[in-house]
Amino acid sequence: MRRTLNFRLPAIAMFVALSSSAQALPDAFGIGQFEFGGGLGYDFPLAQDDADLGPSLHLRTRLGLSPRFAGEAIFGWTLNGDGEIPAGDAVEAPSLMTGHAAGVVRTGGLGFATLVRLGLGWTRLSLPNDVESLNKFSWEVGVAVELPIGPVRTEIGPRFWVVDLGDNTRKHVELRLSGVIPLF
Amino acid sequence: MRIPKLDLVLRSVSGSLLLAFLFALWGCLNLLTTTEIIEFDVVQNGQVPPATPGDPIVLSAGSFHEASIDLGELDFFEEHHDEIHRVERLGFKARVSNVGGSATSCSIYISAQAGLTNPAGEATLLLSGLRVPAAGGRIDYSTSEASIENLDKARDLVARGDFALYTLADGGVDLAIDELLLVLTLSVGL
Repeated sequence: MRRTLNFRLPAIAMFVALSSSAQALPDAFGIGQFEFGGGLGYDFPLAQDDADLGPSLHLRTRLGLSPRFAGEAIFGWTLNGDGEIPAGDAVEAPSLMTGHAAGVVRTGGLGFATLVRLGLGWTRLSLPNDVESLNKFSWEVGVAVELPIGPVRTEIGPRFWVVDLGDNTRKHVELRLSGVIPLF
Repeated sequence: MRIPKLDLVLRSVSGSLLLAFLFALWGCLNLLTTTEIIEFDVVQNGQVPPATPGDPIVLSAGSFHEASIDLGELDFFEEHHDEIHRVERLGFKARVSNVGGSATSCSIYISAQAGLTNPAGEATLLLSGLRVPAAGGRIDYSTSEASIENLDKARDLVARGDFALYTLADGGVDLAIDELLLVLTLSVGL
C-alpha cells in the first residue's frame, strides 16, 4: 500500500503540473507569432534493400498565420542503417538531407491538439564515398498530437515522406518527437 | 458570342483536370517502386569457353580476362526486366588469390561489345587500382563501390542486360579470382 502511494504521488504531481502548463499555453496558433525548435526521429525506409532503420534529426521554424493554420520551414538529416547484399557484405545506406516548406492545420484545444501537416521541398540524397549526390523534389504528409509541456509545444507523430527521383521514388515513414517554443 | 468563350473555358478546365489526373496517376504509379539488390556470379555464370563455369578467373601478366554477362540468367532480372526503372548502384565482391606473391592491383572495364582485343583502349573503365595484397584477400562491396568510375555509362550498359566485363591485373603479377560477384541495386516498379 505504501509502495503504491510512493508511485502515485509523483505521478499525480506530474499530471497537475502538465495540466496547469497545458492550460497556460494558448490553444491556437498566435497570428504572427514566430516559433523555433527541433527534435529527433526514427526513420523506417520502405522497400529499400540498401537502407535500414535509422535515426534522424530536424530543426523547425513556425509562423502562425491564423488560429488554426501555420507555415513551417523544416530542415532534417536522416542516417539510415546499412543494408546487406545477399552474399553478406554491408551496403552503406544513402544519407538524406531535407528542406521542406509545410502548411500545418491545427484542431482541438483541450490540453492537446491534432496537427495535420503537408510539406513540399527538396531532398539531397548522397551515396556513400562521394559516388553520387542527387537533389530532388520531395514531399511529406504527417499527423501529430501536440502535448504542451511547460513553454514547449511538444508533438509526436508519424510522417510519410517521399523523395521523387524521376523514375523512382524512395519512401520513408518517420516517427518524430519535436518541440517548438515561441520566440517573438 | 458567349458560347465559344464558355466552350473555351470548359475545354481549359477539362484539360487542366486531365493534366492533374495524369500527374496524380503518374505520382501514384511512381509510389509503387522498390529498391532491390541482386547479384551476378561472374565466375559461375560469366565464363566464356574454353573456361568452364566455376573455374577461377586467371590473370597473367599482360593478359586480360573477358566475361560475358547475361543478367537474363537471373530469375529476378528476367521476370522484372520491363519494370526496372534505373540501375542505382553497382559494385563487386571478390576473393582473389595472389599467385605472383607480391602486392598489386587490378582493374575492371565494361563494354557492350564482346571479343575486344584491347579493352584498356576500347572499353569503359569501371574500376581501377583495386589493391590486392601479396597474400591475396577479399575485396568487399563498399571498397569497390567507392572506386567505381564512369557510373552513368556503366548504368546504361548494365540496364541492357547483356555486356562484357574485362578484368586486368596491373603490374605484371599473376592473379586468380576465385569469387567475383557483380552487385546491382535496382529501382523496380511493381
